[in-house]
Amino acid sequence: MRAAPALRKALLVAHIATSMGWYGALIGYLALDISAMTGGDAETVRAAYVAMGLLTTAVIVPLALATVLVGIVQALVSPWGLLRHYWVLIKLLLTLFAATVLLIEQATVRALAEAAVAGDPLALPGTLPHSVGGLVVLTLVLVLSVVKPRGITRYGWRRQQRARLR
Amino acid sequence: MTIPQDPRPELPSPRDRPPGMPTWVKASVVVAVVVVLAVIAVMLLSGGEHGPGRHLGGAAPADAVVVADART
Repeated sequence: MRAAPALRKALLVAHIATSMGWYGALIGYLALDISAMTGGDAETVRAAYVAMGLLTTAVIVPLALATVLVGIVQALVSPWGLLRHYWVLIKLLLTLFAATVLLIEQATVRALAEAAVAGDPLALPGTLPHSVGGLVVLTLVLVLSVVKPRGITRYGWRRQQRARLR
Repeated sequence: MTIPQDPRPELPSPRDRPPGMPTWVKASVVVAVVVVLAVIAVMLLSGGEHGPGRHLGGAAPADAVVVADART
């Protein structure tokens, strides 16, 4: 699939903006998560859980979905393709995995925010394993984007062969 | 002088063979499988419940009690 260079650049800008927005929002979420887990003041901890719920629903989930959609479209119109190079394929799988876990965990984060408002926030555990795990996965995606390690898939190789024969 | 023929003419040239999986991909798959198995083991050892209810409900779960004690 070919696209004009201006459209490809616009999609690349959108992909970087949404993915780095997701990454940055997750770092902010992690700070709140740590605060909720270690805070000794009930009001501060309650505020942290409420902020975690708001940040997840209003920022992180929309950015994650936008990252996946824009990333797929941007890969399809770029010379790299979506399935031709291992670094792109693995980026796609990692991003889909992170977004899926996020969508599942969204219910937990909302429930924690509601429980913090309704009851004792100091009795609630945080979501540190998920926020740390999510940050690790997104960091791997970032590294793949920059390093672009070599390796062409069988599908990519067949596409290359067909192009050579033309 | 005759030019020696390739004794294995039936083998395809490198350009006709699809590339193998790179080492970094194979290593990444192994690491991912190990991590997934470790996570599954932790989830099974912690009781297996992995929904929103694991944090909430009448009786405080064990980890919530530990966290509450750590705060005091």
